[in-house]
Amino acid sequence: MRRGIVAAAMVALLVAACKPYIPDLPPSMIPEPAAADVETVVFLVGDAGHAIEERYPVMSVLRGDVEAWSRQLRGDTSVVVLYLGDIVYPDGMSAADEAGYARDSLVVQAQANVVAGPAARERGWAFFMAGNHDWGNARNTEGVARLQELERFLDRRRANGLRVRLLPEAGEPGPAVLDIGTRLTILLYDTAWWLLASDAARKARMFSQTEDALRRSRGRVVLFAAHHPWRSASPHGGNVGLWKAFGLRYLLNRSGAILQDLNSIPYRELTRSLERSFRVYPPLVFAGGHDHSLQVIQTEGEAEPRFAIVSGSASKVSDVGHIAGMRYRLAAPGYGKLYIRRDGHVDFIMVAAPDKDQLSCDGTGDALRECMTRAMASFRPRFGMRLQ
Amino acid sequence: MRLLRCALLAAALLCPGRAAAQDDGFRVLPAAAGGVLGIMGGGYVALSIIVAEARAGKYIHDFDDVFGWRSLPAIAGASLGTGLGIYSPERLRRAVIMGFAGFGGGAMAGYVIGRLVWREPEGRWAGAAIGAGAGLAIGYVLGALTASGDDDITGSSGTSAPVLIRISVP
Repeated sequence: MRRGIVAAAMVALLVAACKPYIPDLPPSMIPEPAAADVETVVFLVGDAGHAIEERYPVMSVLRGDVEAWSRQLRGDTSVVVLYLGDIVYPDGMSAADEAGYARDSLVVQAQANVVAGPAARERGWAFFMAGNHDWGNARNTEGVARLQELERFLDRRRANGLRVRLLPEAGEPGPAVLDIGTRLTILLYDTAWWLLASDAARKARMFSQTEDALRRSRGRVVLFAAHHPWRSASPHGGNVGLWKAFGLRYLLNRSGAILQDLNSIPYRELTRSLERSFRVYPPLVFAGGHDHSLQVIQTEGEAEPRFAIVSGSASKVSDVGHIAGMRYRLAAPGYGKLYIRRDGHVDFIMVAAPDKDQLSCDGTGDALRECMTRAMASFRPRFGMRLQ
Repeated sequence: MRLLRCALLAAALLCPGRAAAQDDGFRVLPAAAGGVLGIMGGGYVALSIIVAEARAGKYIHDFDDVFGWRSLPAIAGASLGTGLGIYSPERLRRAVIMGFAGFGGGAMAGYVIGRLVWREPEGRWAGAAIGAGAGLAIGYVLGALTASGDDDITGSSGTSAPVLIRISVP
């Protein structure tokens, strides 16, 4: 009996010893800037592929926020929503004659509706970037066909007055370069293309176009946006418990065997090549989703973006650990807001629920309404800092 | 648990119903232990195959892709371990010991080779994973083949009777 207790205590000690240390981060908050001081607001939302409007409170909160800022700002494209990939889970947009089409349409429509308010129709744009799930994790033409379905769906919505668009276009790697206002340049990429359909000639062209765009953008705020993040302290970035799945997940990650992890050889090749491009003019922010959490990481490398932001928790939530330079982390549904101010400063605020319990609501009728109201009320700015 | 039940069921179906009646009671435990250890060993061999494939440029997309046909080595390991437990506990014991030794030796050798062959930090992990899987498989097979075989069930054991293993399938 006593030996059993001692053995159990030793096992518990071993497990506790192997648990990674996660330090507390100092709180950081800034007030939301006055509308008169803001030229452009960019909303960063990722991995909304399950988010049906009626059940995912984050979509309603986002829609209200986009409409409110669209009402306050002047200018044709003063409010930009960037969907950071994985628009439709699990295998991208189904064709109109496939069984999943009705459900997939609801999911994409919920995201398009974020710019459906009267003011957002005038001043807002929503740009959708492809993620690996939008490719159906399928290579080459099979994956591109899924993207073309999504592109056609969005084109039809645009024809009906919603300002929504898939960028880069289906099967194109990017960069799609958007000069917004007098201060901001956004470069959009399909990083899933790199992993699933790349070829040497187009890779080279992608980097030369990136360097051209960066050269032209000197003096402007440059925002890189893609599905895969620059860095992450969630599972795709290597934050995997040693004991998860008997250690198999941990070993697969450490050995770089999972294509969608940030340390796989192809993704590592992408970030190394981008680092060469960043020597021309490093971007201020690299925003990505892919991992289902909210993170702000300040980098220190010369050829790195100054901030790596992860916003991928619109419809899934996963754990988040610690990484060097981390300024904020939260495993809860939410989104980021980047304010390009008229005085040249750039502010960032993360809006989120307190925890993952507010991700979605079940039930019907009054129970569903009550759950949605309660969950929506729990969203508020949780982190804020001046990036520049 | 479901996988374990399936593996035990598969092993029970695959193993000839002629296991000797002489020591049924003694062999249920080795069979169960062989099944569990077989799943673990087979699972690890599956992992090392996945890692080797990734080094050759053929990746899995996500951890969920591990399940499905890629988990066949785990099923095969369970069947082999259960069968060996019934047929010859001595061979199973030796296979497990040599499998562990092969696992450790392979991991260490693979770590060193991986570090030399691949420059990125994942290389040494990949080398260790591949080496451990290969070492485990080789050690296991050698152990099973080189054991004394004194307690093997042979064709001359006389009467045959089925081994009674109760498996509840939901």
